[in-house]
Amino acid sequence: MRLSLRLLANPTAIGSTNGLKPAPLALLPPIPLYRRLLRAHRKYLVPQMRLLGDEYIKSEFRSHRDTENPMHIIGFLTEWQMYAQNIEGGSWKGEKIDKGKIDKMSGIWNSYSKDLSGQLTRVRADQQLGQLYELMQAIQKQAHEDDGEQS
Amino acid sequence: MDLLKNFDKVKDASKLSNTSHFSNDLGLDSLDTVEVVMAIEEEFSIEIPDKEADSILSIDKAVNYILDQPDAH
Repeated sequence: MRLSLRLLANPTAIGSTNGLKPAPLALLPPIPLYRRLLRAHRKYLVPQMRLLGDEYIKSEFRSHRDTENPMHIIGFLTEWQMYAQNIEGGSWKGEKIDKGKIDKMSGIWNSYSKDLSGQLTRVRADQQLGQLYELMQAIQKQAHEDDGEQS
Repeated sequence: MDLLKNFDKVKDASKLSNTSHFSNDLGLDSLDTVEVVMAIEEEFSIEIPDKEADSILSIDKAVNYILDQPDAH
């Protein structure tokens, strides 16, 4: 029984690693990751890009160092680790680096702005509710006036 | 090894001594410390393994580490 279960389980496991979702990364802790990023820049980027990239890494790490939400931290580390792998793989050159940074930045921004967008949605919903209320009042007023004309 | 002092230009230079501890004396945080170690690597054309890099927390430790490296120049 055990053997057959195993046989059944194997294809699923392979399927999941080959599936659409990439296999989860083993995340580096922040400090080793930070080191790795700076080294990758030193090794693979031309001086101007490196200067820019280093400043960006430094400010990103510094501004998120007090982040406590575990999901945000995981998101942050994941994005940067993927970025490090891309740089080390040499797959990003020239303008592609900018694009990659923008993508990554927006990825991070997305995860960090979820709270904010949630609040905005609520605000928008409130506004729409207000507009609906005004509309309803206008319709009622109109209906009232129509009634008045008819009678 | 006085070169080390120049790296720390951003931080308050008055407390710099040969035995200054990066965080206790110089007020560097963990990210600054990484940056200092990176600067040392670059200056001496060496790559410090993570395990060693973690233990370089003061100027004398850094100096000793560099002195132990035959490749450092």
